[in-house]
Amino acid sequence: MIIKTIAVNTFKEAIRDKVLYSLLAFTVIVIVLSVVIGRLTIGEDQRIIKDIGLAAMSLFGVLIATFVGTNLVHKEINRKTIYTIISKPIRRFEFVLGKYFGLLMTIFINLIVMTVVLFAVLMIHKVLIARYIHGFSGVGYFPLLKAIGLVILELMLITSVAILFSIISTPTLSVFFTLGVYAIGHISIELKAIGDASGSAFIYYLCSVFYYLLPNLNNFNIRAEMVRDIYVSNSFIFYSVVYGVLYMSVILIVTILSFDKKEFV
Amino acid sequence: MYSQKKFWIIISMICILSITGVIYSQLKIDQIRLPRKRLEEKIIYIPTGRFMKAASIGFHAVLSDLLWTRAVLYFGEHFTTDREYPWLYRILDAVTTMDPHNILAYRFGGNLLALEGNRIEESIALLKKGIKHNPDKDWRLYFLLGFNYYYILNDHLTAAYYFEQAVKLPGHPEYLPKLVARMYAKADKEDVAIEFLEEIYTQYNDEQVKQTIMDRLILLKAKEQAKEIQKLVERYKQIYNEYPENFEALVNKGLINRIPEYPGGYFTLNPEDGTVDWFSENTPNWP
Repeated sequence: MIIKTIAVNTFKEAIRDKVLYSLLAFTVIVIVLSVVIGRLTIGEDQRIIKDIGLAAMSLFGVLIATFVGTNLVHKEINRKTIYTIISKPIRRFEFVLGKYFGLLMTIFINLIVMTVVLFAVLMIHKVLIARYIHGFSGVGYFPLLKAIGLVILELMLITSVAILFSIISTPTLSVFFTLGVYAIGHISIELKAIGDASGSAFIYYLCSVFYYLLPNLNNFNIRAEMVRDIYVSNSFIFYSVVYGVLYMSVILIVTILSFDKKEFV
Repeated sequence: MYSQKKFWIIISMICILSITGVIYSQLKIDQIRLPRKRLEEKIIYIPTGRFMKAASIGFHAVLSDLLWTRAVLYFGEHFTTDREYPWLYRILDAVTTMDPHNILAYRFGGNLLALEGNRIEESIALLKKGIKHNPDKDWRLYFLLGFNYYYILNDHLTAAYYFEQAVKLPGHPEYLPKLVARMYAKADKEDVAIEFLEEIYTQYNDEQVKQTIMDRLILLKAKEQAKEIQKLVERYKQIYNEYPENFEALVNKGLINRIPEYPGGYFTLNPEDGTVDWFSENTPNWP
Protein backbone atom coordinates (compact mmCIF):
# COMPACT_ATOMS: atom_id res chain seq x y z
CA MET A 1 0.00 0.00 0.00
CA ILE A 2 2.80 2.41 0.93
CA ILE A 3 4.67 1.37 -2.23
CA LYS A 4 1.56 2.15 -4.27
CA THR A 5 1.19 5.60 -2.66
CA ILE A 6 4.85 6.48 -3.31
CA ALA A 7 4.55 5.12 -6.86
CA VAL A 8 1.48 7.26 -7.62
CA ASN A 9 3.16 10.34 -6.17
CA THR A 10 6.34 9.63 -8.17
CA PHE A 11 4.25 9.26 -11.30
CA LYS A 12 2.45 12.57 -10.65
CA GLU A 13 5.79 14.25 -10.04
CA ALA A 14 7.45 12.72 -13.10
CA ILE A 15 4.72 13.80 -15.50
CA ARG A 16 5.32 17.39 -14.46
CA ASP A 17 8.92 17.12 -15.68
CA LYS A 18 9.45 19.21 -18.83
CA VAL A 19 12.25 16.91 -20.04
CA LEU A 20 9.67 14.15 -20.34
CA TYR A 21 7.49 16.16 -22.71
CA SER A 22 10.45 17.32 -24.80
CA LEU A 23 11.57 13.73 -25.30
CA LEU A 24 8.04 12.54 -26.01
CA ALA A 25 7.60 15.34 -28.56
CA PHE A 26 10.90 14.36 -30.18
CA THR A 27 9.78 10.73 -30.47
CA VAL A 28 6.48 11.73 -32.07
CA ILE A 29 8.28 14.02 -34.54
CA VAL A 30 10.76 11.25 -35.47
CA ILE A 31 7.95 8.71 -35.99
CA VAL A 32 5.97 11.13 -38.17
CA LEU A 33 9.09 12.12 -40.14
CA SER A 34 9.87 8.46 -40.80
CA VAL A 35 7.09 8.64 -43.42
CA VAL A 36 9.20 11.14 -45.37
CA ILE A 37 12.31 8.94 -45.10
CA GLY A 38 10.21 5.94 -46.15
CA ARG A 39 9.16 7.78 -49.31
CA LEU A 40 12.84 7.99 -50.32
CA THR A 41 13.03 4.21 -50.72
CA ILE A 42 11.34 1.98 -53.26
CA GLY A 43 8.35 0.07 -51.89
CA GLU A 44 9.85 -0.14 -48.38
CA ASP A 45 7.86 2.68 -46.77
CA GLN A 46 6.15 0.62 -44.10
CA ARG A 47 9.33 -1.22 -43.13
CA ILE A 48 11.22 2.05 -42.73
CA ILE A 49 8.42 3.58 -40.64
CA LYS A 50 8.36 0.51 -38.37
CA ASP A 51 12.17 0.38 -38.10
CA ILE A 52 12.52 4.05 -37.25
CA GLY A 53 9.43 4.08 -35.03
CA LEU A 54 10.61 1.15 -32.88
CA ALA A 55 14.17 2.49 -32.72
CA ALA A 56 12.87 5.91 -31.61
CA MET A 57 10.70 4.28 -28.94
CA SER A 58 13.65 2.34 -27.57
CA LEU A 59 16.14 5.22 -27.70
CA PHE A 60 13.87 7.95 -26.36
CA GLY A 61 12.45 5.54 -23.77
CA VAL A 62 15.98 5.01 -22.48
CA LEU A 63 16.57 8.78 -22.41
CA ILE A 64 13.34 9.30 -20.46
CA ALA A 65 14.29 6.55 -17.98
CA THR A 66 17.75 8.06 -17.62
CA PHE A 67 16.96 11.77 -17.34
CA VAL A 68 13.82 11.41 -15.23
CA GLY A 69 15.04 8.41 -13.19
CA THR A 70 18.41 9.83 -12.19
CA ASN A 71 16.78 13.00 -10.83
CA LEU A 72 14.05 11.44 -8.75
CA VAL A 73 15.88 10.70 -5.50
CA HIS A 74 18.19 13.67 -5.87
CA LYS A 75 15.23 16.03 -6.04
CA GLU A 76 13.93 14.64 -2.74
CA ILE A 77 17.31 15.29 -1.14
CA ASN A 78 17.63 18.75 -2.70
CA ARG A 79 14.20 19.87 -1.57
CA LYS A 80 14.80 18.17 1.78
CA THR A 81 11.51 16.26 1.43
CA ILE A 82 13.48 13.04 1.98
CA TYR A 83 13.73 13.91 5.72
CA THR A 84 9.96 14.05 5.98
CA ILE A 85 9.65 10.72 4.20
CA ILE A 86 12.28 8.77 6.15
CA SER A 87 11.02 10.12 9.47
CA LYS A 88 7.66 8.48 8.74
CA PRO A 89 7.06 4.77 9.29
CA ILE A 90 8.14 3.98 5.75
CA ARG A 91 10.74 1.33 5.26
CA ARG A 92 13.50 2.21 2.85
CA PHE A 93 12.81 -0.65 0.45
CA GLU A 94 9.24 0.62 0.18
CA PHE A 95 10.57 4.01 -0.83
CA VAL A 96 12.92 2.56 -3.48
CA LEU A 97 10.28 0.22 -4.92
CA GLY A 98 7.70 3.03 -4.87
CA LYS A 99 10.04 5.28 -6.84
CA TYR A 100 10.83 2.44 -9.24
CA PHE A 101 7.23 1.53 -9.97
CA GLY A 102 6.25 5.20 -10.23
CA LEU A 103 8.89 5.73 -12.86
CA LEU A 104 7.84 2.56 -14.65
CA MET A 105 4.26 3.86 -14.78
CA THR A 106 5.53 7.06 -16.38
CA ILE A 107 7.56 5.15 -18.96
CA PHE A 108 4.69 2.77 -19.63
CA ILE A 109 2.25 5.65 -20.30
CA ASN A 110 4.82 7.24 -22.61
CA LEU A 111 5.26 4.01 -24.53
CA ILE A 112 1.49 3.71 -24.93
CA VAL A 113 1.42 7.21 -26.43
CA MET A 114 4.34 6.36 -28.73
CA THR A 115 2.70 3.06 -29.78
CA VAL A 116 -0.57 4.83 -30.56
CA VAL A 117 1.29 7.43 -32.65
CA LEU A 118 3.25 4.73 -34.50
CA PHE A 119 0.15 2.68 -35.27
CA ALA A 120 -1.75 5.82 -36.29
CA VAL A 121 1.05 6.81 -38.66
CA LEU A 122 1.11 3.28 -40.12
CA MET A 123 -2.67 3.27 -40.58
CA ILE A 124 -2.81 6.73 -42.12
CA HIS A 125 0.08 5.77 -44.38
CA LYS A 126 -1.76 2.60 -45.36
CA VAL A 127 -4.94 4.47 -46.25
CA LEU A 128 -3.31 7.38 -48.06
CA ILE A 129 -0.22 5.89 -49.68
CA ALA A 130 0.53 2.19 -49.15
CA ARG A 131 -2.60 0.78 -50.77
CA TYR A 132 -1.37 2.23 -54.06
CA ILE A 133 1.94 0.40 -53.74
CA HIS A 134 2.14 -2.83 -55.70
CA GLY A 135 2.67 -5.85 -53.46
CA PHE A 136 1.79 -4.10 -50.21
CA SER A 137 1.02 -6.82 -47.69
CA GLY A 138 -0.57 -5.14 -44.68
CA VAL A 139 0.63 -3.55 -41.50
CA GLY A 140 1.20 -6.50 -39.10
CA TYR A 141 0.52 -4.97 -35.70
CA PHE A 142 0.91 -8.07 -33.52
CA PRO A 143 4.62 -8.69 -34.23
CA LEU A 144 5.22 -5.01 -33.46
CA LEU A 145 3.56 -5.44 -30.08
CA LYS A 146 5.92 -8.35 -29.31
CA ALA A 147 8.91 -6.13 -30.13
CA ILE A 148 7.46 -3.29 -28.02
CA GLY A 149 6.94 -5.74 -25.14
CA LEU A 150 10.65 -6.49 -25.06
CA VAL A 151 11.45 -2.77 -25.41
CA ILE A 152 9.43 -2.29 -22.19
CA LEU A 153 11.49 -5.00 -20.48
CA GLU A 154 14.71 -3.33 -21.63
CA LEU A 155 13.46 -0.01 -20.24
CA MET A 156 12.52 -1.68 -16.93
CA LEU A 157 16.11 -2.89 -16.61
CA ILE A 158 17.57 0.51 -17.53
CA THR A 159 15.19 2.20 -15.07
CA SER A 160 16.47 0.01 -12.24
CA VAL A 161 20.02 0.96 -13.22
CA ALA A 162 19.09 4.67 -13.32
CA ILE A 163 17.60 4.51 -9.82
CA LEU A 164 20.64 2.65 -8.47
CA PHE A 165 22.98 5.33 -9.79
CA SER A 166 20.70 8.14 -8.62
CA ILE A 167 21.13 6.81 -5.06
CA ILE A 168 24.87 6.25 -5.09
CA SER A 169 25.93 9.18 -7.27
CA THR A 170 25.18 12.73 -8.42
CA PRO A 171 22.54 13.32 -11.13
CA THR A 172 25.05 14.28 -13.83
CA LEU A 173 27.28 11.27 -13.21
CA SER A 174 24.21 9.04 -12.95
CA VAL A 175 23.16 10.09 -16.47
CA PHE A 176 26.60 9.19 -17.82
CA PHE A 177 26.72 5.91 -15.93
CA THR A 178 23.23 4.86 -17.00
CA LEU A 179 23.84 5.70 -20.65
CA GLY A 180 27.19 3.88 -20.32
CA VAL A 181 25.41 0.75 -19.10
CA TYR A 182 22.99 1.07 -22.04
CA ALA A 183 25.90 1.28 -24.51
CA ILE A 184 27.75 -1.61 -22.85
CA GLY A 185 24.53 -3.64 -22.84
CA HIS A 186 24.39 -3.39 -26.61
CA ILE A 187 28.03 -4.19 -27.33
CA SER A 188 28.58 -6.87 -24.67
CA ILE A 189 27.58 -9.48 -27.28
CA GLU A 190 30.82 -8.66 -29.12
CA LEU A 191 32.80 -9.77 -26.07
CA LYS A 192 31.82 -13.37 -26.72
CA ALA A 193 32.88 -13.16 -30.36
CA ILE A 194 36.19 -11.53 -29.39
CA GLY A 195 36.81 -14.20 -26.73
CA ASP A 196 36.03 -17.01 -29.18
CA ALA A 197 38.28 -15.53 -31.85
CA SER A 198 41.18 -14.60 -29.56
CA GLY A 199 42.74 -18.07 -29.42
CA SER A 200 43.92 -17.32 -25.88
CA ALA A 201 42.35 -19.23 -22.98
CA PHE A 202 42.88 -16.31 -20.59
CA ILE A 203 41.16 -13.77 -22.88
CA TYR A 204 38.40 -16.29 -23.59
CA TYR A 205 37.60 -16.76 -19.88
CA LEU A 206 37.97 -13.04 -19.14
CA CYS A 207 35.57 -12.15 -21.97
CA SER A 208 33.17 -14.90 -20.86
CA VAL A 209 33.05 -13.59 -17.27
CA PHE A 210 32.27 -10.06 -18.46
CA TYR A 211 29.84 -11.36 -21.07
CA TYR A 212 27.73 -13.20 -18.49
CA LEU A 213 27.93 -10.52 -15.80
CA LEU A 214 27.30 -7.40 -17.87
CA PRO A 215 23.72 -6.82 -18.99
CA ASN A 216 23.06 -8.10 -22.49
CA LEU A 217 20.41 -5.77 -23.88
CA ASN A 218 20.49 -7.51 -27.26
CA ASN A 219 18.34 -10.17 -25.61
CA PHE A 220 15.49 -7.66 -25.77
CA ASN A 221 16.06 -6.59 -29.34
CA ILE A 222 13.82 -8.48 -31.76
CA ARG A 223 12.77 -5.35 -33.61
CA ALA A 224 14.43 -6.19 -36.95
CA GLU A 225 12.93 -9.72 -36.95
CA MET A 226 9.43 -8.58 -36.06
CA VAL A 227 9.40 -5.87 -38.73
CA ARG A 228 10.57 -8.35 -41.36
CA ASP A 229 8.16 -11.03 -40.19
CA ILE A 230 10.94 -13.44 -39.23
CA TYR A 231 10.08 -16.14 -36.73
CA VAL A 232 11.43 -15.73 -33.20
CA SER A 233 10.70 -18.69 -30.95
CA ASN A 234 8.59 -18.33 -27.83
CA SER A 235 11.38 -19.93 -25.81
CA PHE A 236 13.72 -17.09 -26.86
CA ILE A 237 11.18 -14.56 -25.64
CA PHE A 238 10.57 -16.58 -22.45
CA TYR A 239 14.26 -16.74 -21.53
CA SER A 240 14.69 -13.06 -22.38
CA VAL A 241 11.88 -12.21 -19.97
CA VAL A 242 13.38 -14.47 -17.25
CA TYR A 243 16.79 -12.89 -17.85
CA GLY A 244 15.39 -9.36 -17.62
CA VAL A 245 13.31 -9.98 -14.49
CA LEU A 246 16.16 -11.70 -12.62
CA TYR A 247 18.74 -9.11 -13.67
CA MET A 248 16.59 -6.20 -12.56
CA SER A 249 15.80 -8.03 -9.28
CA VAL A 250 19.50 -8.18 -8.47
CA ILE A 251 19.93 -4.50 -9.31
CA LEU A 252 16.93 -3.55 -7.18
CA ILE A 253 18.30 -5.55 -4.22
CA VAL A 254 21.63 -3.74 -4.56
CA THR A 255 19.75 -0.42 -4.83
CA ILE A 256 17.71 -1.13 -1.69
CA LEU A 257 20.83 -2.15 0.25
CA SER A 258 22.68 0.98 -0.92
CA PHE A 259 19.77 3.20 0.07
CA ASP A 260 19.53 1.38 3.40
CA LYS A 261 23.16 2.22 4.20
CA LYS A 262 22.82 5.84 3.05
CA GLU A 263 22.77 8.40 5.86
CA PHE A 264 20.86 11.63 5.57
CA VAL A 265 22.16 14.37 7.83
CA MET B 1 21.80 -9.60 15.78
CA TYR B 2 20.44 -13.02 14.85
CA SER B 3 17.75 -11.55 12.60
CA GLN B 4 20.29 -9.33 10.82
CA LYS B 5 22.47 -12.36 10.10
CA LYS B 6 19.42 -14.21 8.82
CA PHE B 7 18.52 -11.21 6.65
CA TRP B 8 21.94 -11.17 4.99
CA ILE B 9 21.87 -14.92 4.40
CA ILE B 10 18.47 -14.63 2.70
CA ILE B 11 19.56 -11.62 0.60
CA SER B 12 22.78 -13.39 -0.43
CA MET B 13 20.85 -16.53 -1.36
CA ILE B 14 18.39 -14.51 -3.47
CA CYS B 15 21.26 -12.72 -5.23
CA ILE B 16 23.18 -15.93 -5.92
CA LEU B 17 20.06 -17.68 -7.23
CA SER B 18 19.17 -14.67 -9.40
CA ILE B 19 22.68 -14.41 -10.87
CA THR B 20 22.64 -18.17 -11.55
CA GLY B 21 19.28 -17.71 -13.25
CA VAL B 22 20.66 -14.80 -15.31
CA ILE B 23 23.62 -16.89 -16.52
CA TYR B 24 21.40 -19.92 -17.22
CA SER B 25 18.95 -17.76 -19.23
CA GLN B 26 21.83 -16.24 -21.19
CA LEU B 27 23.18 -19.70 -22.01
CA LYS B 28 19.74 -20.79 -23.23
CA ILE B 29 19.34 -17.56 -25.23
CA ASP B 30 22.74 -18.12 -26.87
CA GLN B 31 21.70 -21.65 -27.84
CA ILE B 32 18.55 -20.31 -29.49
CA ARG B 33 20.35 -17.30 -30.94
CA LEU B 34 22.72 -19.42 -33.08
CA PRO B 35 20.14 -20.18 -35.78
CA ARG B 36 18.75 -16.70 -35.22
CA LYS B 37 22.14 -15.15 -35.96
CA ARG B 38 22.14 -16.68 -39.42
CA LEU B 39 18.81 -14.98 -40.02
CA GLU B 40 20.19 -11.72 -38.70
CA GLU B 41 22.97 -11.78 -41.23
CA LYS B 42 20.50 -12.14 -44.04
CA ILE B 43 18.36 -9.28 -42.87
CA ILE B 44 20.86 -6.91 -41.35
CA TYR B 45 20.98 -3.81 -43.44
CA ILE B 46 24.53 -2.56 -43.63
CA PRO B 47 24.20 1.04 -44.73
CA THR B 48 26.56 2.27 -47.40
CA GLY B 49 29.89 3.65 -46.24
CA ARG B 50 28.89 7.13 -47.44
CA PHE B 51 25.81 7.13 -45.25
CA MET B 52 27.72 5.76 -42.27
CA LYS B 53 30.45 8.36 -42.74
CA ALA B 54 27.87 11.14 -42.65
CA ALA B 55 26.03 9.61 -39.70
CA SER B 56 29.19 9.09 -37.67
CA ILE B 57 29.44 12.86 -36.99
CA GLY B 58 33.21 12.94 -37.31
CA PHE B 59 33.91 9.59 -35.65
CA HIS B 60 34.14 7.70 -38.96
CA ALA B 61 37.69 6.51 -38.28
CA VAL B 62 36.62 4.84 -35.01
CA LEU B 63 33.49 3.45 -36.65
CA SER B 64 35.62 2.13 -39.49
CA ASP B 65 37.94 0.40 -36.99
CA LEU B 66 35.00 -1.20 -35.20
CA LEU B 67 33.51 -2.40 -38.46
CA TRP B 68 36.93 -3.66 -39.60
CA THR B 69 37.09 -5.80 -36.45
CA ARG B 70 33.60 -7.03 -37.29
CA ALA B 71 34.76 -7.96 -40.82
CA VAL B 72 37.64 -10.06 -39.47
CA LEU B 73 35.33 -11.79 -36.98
CA TYR B 74 32.78 -12.35 -39.75
CA PHE B 75 35.43 -14.03 -41.88
CA GLY B 76 36.64 -16.20 -38.99
CA GLU B 77 33.12 -17.23 -38.08
CA HIS B 78 32.26 -18.34 -41.63
CA PHE B 79 35.68 -19.85 -42.27
CA THR B 80 35.00 -22.35 -39.50
CA THR B 81 31.40 -23.02 -40.58
CA ASP B 82 29.87 -22.67 -44.05
CA ARG B 83 32.78 -20.95 -45.88
CA GLU B 84 30.30 -18.59 -47.56
CA TYR B 85 30.91 -14.83 -47.35
CA PRO B 86 27.93 -12.98 -48.84
CA TRP B 87 28.41 -9.85 -46.68
CA LEU B 88 32.20 -9.57 -46.62
CA TYR B 89 32.46 -7.19 -49.56
CA ARG B 90 29.67 -4.97 -48.27
CA ILE B 91 31.30 -4.67 -44.84
CA LEU B 92 34.77 -4.01 -46.28
CA ASP B 93 33.36 -1.49 -48.74
CA ALA B 94 31.84 0.43 -45.81
CA VAL B 95 35.11 0.13 -43.83
CA THR B 96 37.19 1.52 -46.70
CA THR B 97 34.73 4.29 -47.54
CA MET B 98 34.97 5.57 -43.98
CA ASP B 99 38.73 5.05 -43.94
CA PRO B 100 40.03 4.93 -47.54
CA HIS B 101 43.61 4.39 -46.34
CA ASN B 102 43.08 1.10 -44.55
CA ILE B 103 45.40 -0.80 -46.90
CA LEU B 104 45.11 -4.03 -44.96
CA ALA B 105 41.34 -4.07 -45.47
CA TYR B 106 41.83 -3.88 -49.26
CA ARG B 107 44.47 -6.60 -49.19
CA PHE B 108 42.46 -8.81 -46.84
CA GLY B 109 39.31 -8.50 -48.93
CA GLY B 110 41.12 -8.60 -52.27
CA ASN B 111 42.77 -11.86 -51.31
CA LEU B 112 40.01 -13.68 -49.53
CA LEU B 113 37.11 -12.69 -51.74
CA ALA B 114 39.00 -14.18 -54.71
CA LEU B 115 40.73 -17.15 -53.10
CA GLU B 116 38.24 -18.21 -50.45
CA GLY B 117 34.92 -16.68 -51.45
CA ASN B 118 35.05 -17.20 -55.23
CA ARG B 119 33.84 -13.59 -55.54
CA ILE B 120 36.25 -12.34 -58.11
CA GLU B 121 34.31 -9.23 -59.20
CA GLU B 122 34.05 -8.04 -55.62
CA SER B 123 37.74 -8.72 -55.04
CA ILE B 124 38.68 -6.70 -58.12
CA ALA B 125 36.31 -3.85 -57.19
CA LEU B 126 37.83 -3.60 -53.72
CA LEU B 127 41.43 -3.69 -54.97
CA LYS B 128 40.71 -1.06 -57.64
CA LYS B 129 39.13 1.13 -54.97
CA GLY B 130 42.27 0.69 -52.85
CA ILE B 131 44.51 1.64 -55.78
CA LYS B 132 42.34 4.67 -56.57
CA HIS B 133 42.71 6.02 -53.04
CA ASN B 134 46.30 4.86 -52.50
CA PRO B 135 47.96 4.79 -55.92
CA ASP B 136 51.53 4.62 -54.66
CA LYS B 137 51.21 3.23 -51.14
CA ASP B 138 51.47 -0.53 -51.53
CA TRP B 139 52.73 -2.68 -54.42
CA ARG B 140 50.72 -5.61 -53.07
CA LEU B 141 47.42 -4.07 -54.21
CA TYR B 142 48.61 -4.12 -57.85
CA PHE B 143 50.16 -7.54 -57.30
CA LEU B 144 46.91 -9.09 -56.03
CA LEU B 145 44.90 -7.44 -58.78
CA GLY B 146 47.35 -8.74 -61.35
CA PHE B 147 47.09 -12.22 -59.89
CA ASN B 148 43.28 -12.14 -60.16
CA TYR B 149 43.48 -11.16 -63.84
CA TYR B 150 46.29 -13.59 -64.61
CA TYR B 151 45.20 -16.76 -62.97
CA ILE B 152 41.46 -16.50 -62.42
CA LEU B 153 40.29 -14.38 -65.35
CA ASN B 154 43.01 -15.51 -67.80
CA ASP B 155 43.46 -11.91 -68.90
CA HIS B 156 47.25 -11.83 -69.28
CA LEU B 157 47.38 -8.38 -70.84
CA THR B 158 45.60 -6.63 -67.97
CA ALA B 159 47.52 -8.74 -65.46
CA ALA B 160 50.82 -7.66 -67.01
CA TYR B 161 49.80 -4.00 -66.70
CA TYR B 162 49.14 -4.36 -62.96
CA PHE B 163 52.28 -6.39 -62.28
CA GLU B 164 54.33 -3.71 -64.01
CA GLN B 165 52.72 -1.09 -61.77
CA ALA B 166 53.64 -3.24 -58.74
CA VAL B 167 57.24 -3.43 -59.88
CA LYS B 168 57.42 0.39 -60.07
CA LEU B 169 56.63 0.76 -56.36
CA PRO B 170 59.22 0.44 -53.58
CA GLY B 171 59.27 -2.63 -51.35
CA HIS B 172 58.45 -5.24 -53.98
CA PRO B 173 60.42 -8.50 -53.74
CA GLU B 174 63.50 -8.71 -55.93
CA TYR B 175 62.27 -11.67 -57.92
CA LEU B 176 59.02 -9.97 -58.94
CA PRO B 177 60.37 -8.50 -62.20
CA LYS B 178 61.69 -11.96 -63.13
CA LEU B 179 58.32 -13.48 -62.37
CA VAL B 180 56.62 -10.93 -64.59
CA ALA B 181 59.13 -11.72 -67.33
CA ARG B 182 58.35 -15.42 -67.00
CA MET B 183 54.69 -14.60 -67.26
CA TYR B 184 55.37 -12.77 -70.51
CA ALA B 185 57.35 -15.76 -71.72
CA LYS B 186 54.13 -17.76 -71.33
CA ALA B 187 55.62 -20.11 -68.78
CA ASP B 188 53.43 -22.83 -67.36
CA LYS B 189 50.43 -21.07 -65.81
CA GLU B 190 50.18 -23.18 -62.64
CA ASP B 191 53.90 -22.99 -62.12
CA VAL B 192 53.87 -19.16 -62.15
CA ALA B 193 50.70 -19.03 -60.03
CA ILE B 194 52.38 -21.21 -57.38
CA GLU B 195 55.17 -18.66 -57.12
CA PHE B 196 52.66 -15.81 -56.84
CA LEU B 197 50.73 -17.60 -54.09
CA GLU B 198 53.91 -18.46 -52.21
CA GLU B 199 54.64 -14.72 -52.15
CA ILE B 200 51.11 -13.89 -50.93
CA TYR B 201 51.48 -16.58 -48.24
CA THR B 202 54.46 -14.79 -46.72
CA GLN B 203 52.46 -11.55 -46.40
CA TYR B 204 50.14 -12.83 -43.65
CA ASN B 205 50.45 -13.97 -40.05
CA ASP B 206 46.82 -14.93 -39.52
CA GLU B 207 46.47 -18.71 -39.42
CA GLN B 208 43.07 -18.84 -41.15
CA VAL B 209 44.22 -16.60 -44.01
CA LYS B 210 47.41 -18.67 -44.33
CA GLN B 211 45.36 -21.87 -44.45
CA THR B 212 43.17 -20.44 -47.22
CA ILE B 213 46.23 -19.65 -49.33
CA MET B 214 47.82 -23.00 -48.46
CA ASP B 215 44.68 -24.85 -49.67
CA ARG B 216 45.04 -23.11 -53.04
CA LEU B 217 48.75 -23.84 -53.18
CA ILE B 218 48.08 -27.52 -52.55
CA LEU B 219 45.48 -27.49 -55.30
CA LEU B 220 47.82 -25.84 -57.79
CA LYS B 221 50.57 -28.29 -56.92
CA ALA B 222 48.06 -31.13 -57.41
CA LYS B 223 47.27 -29.72 -60.87
CA GLU B 224 50.97 -29.72 -61.65
CA GLN B 225 51.30 -33.27 -60.36
CA ALA B 226 48.28 -34.34 -62.44
CA LYS B 227 50.04 -33.05 -65.57
CA GLU B 228 53.12 -35.13 -64.72
CA ILE B 229 51.01 -38.24 -64.13
CA GLN B 230 49.20 -37.60 -67.41
CA LYS B 231 52.56 -37.75 -69.23
CA LEU B 232 53.30 -41.10 -67.60
CA VAL B 233 49.87 -42.43 -68.60
CA GLU B 234 50.63 -41.45 -72.20
CA ARG B 235 53.95 -43.23 -71.94
CA TYR B 236 52.19 -46.35 -70.62
CA LYS B 237 49.90 -46.19 -73.67
CA GLN B 238 52.91 -45.99 -75.99
CA ILE B 239 54.53 -49.04 -74.38
CA TYR B 240 51.50 -51.29 -73.77
CA ASN B 241 49.15 -49.94 -76.44
CA GLU B 242 46.36 -49.37 -73.94
CA TYR B 243 45.55 -47.01 -71.11
CA PRO B 244 46.19 -48.28 -67.55
CA GLU B 245 43.15 -49.57 -65.63
CA ASN B 246 44.15 -47.59 -62.56
CA PHE B 247 47.12 -46.02 -60.83
CA GLU B 248 48.18 -49.42 -59.47
CA ALA B 249 49.00 -50.49 -63.03
CA LEU B 250 51.47 -47.60 -63.26
CA VAL B 251 53.02 -48.67 -59.95
CA ASN B 252 53.22 -52.34 -61.03
CA LYS B 253 55.00 -51.41 -64.25
CA GLY B 254 57.45 -49.24 -62.29
CA LEU B 255 56.43 -45.94 -63.92
CA ILE B 256 55.61 -44.42 -60.50
CA ASN B 257 56.67 -45.48 -56.99
CA ARG B 258 53.27 -45.24 -55.29
CA ILE B 259 49.64 -44.31 -55.91
CA PRO B 260 49.57 -40.50 -56.20
CA GLU B 261 47.79 -38.55 -53.49
CA TYR B 262 47.63 -35.07 -52.03
CA PRO B 263 46.14 -33.60 -48.82
CA GLY B 264 42.45 -32.76 -48.97
CA GLY B 265 41.81 -34.40 -52.34
CA TYR B 266 42.52 -37.27 -54.71
CA PHE B 267 43.41 -38.06 -58.32
CA THR B 268 41.19 -40.01 -60.70
CA LEU B 269 42.11 -41.96 -63.82
CA ASN B 270 39.68 -42.70 -66.65
CA PRO B 271 40.80 -46.04 -68.21
CA GLU B 272 38.72 -45.29 -71.36
CA ASP B 273 40.66 -42.25 -72.54
CA GLY B 274 43.46 -42.11 -69.97
CA THR B 275 42.45 -38.72 -68.58
CA VAL B 276 43.98 -37.91 -65.20
CA ASP B 277 41.85 -35.60 -63.11
CA TRP B 278 41.83 -34.37 -59.54
CA PHE B 279 39.25 -33.53 -56.92
CA SER B 280 39.73 -31.22 -53.97
CA GLU B 281 37.52 -31.28 -50.88
CA ASN B 282 38.73 -27.91 -49.54
CA THR B 283 38.58 -25.98 -52.78
CA PRO B 284 36.08 -27.79 -55.02
CA ASN B 285 35.19 -24.86 -57.30
CA TRP B 286 38.35 -22.79 -57.44
CA PRO B 287 39.21 -20.93 -59.56
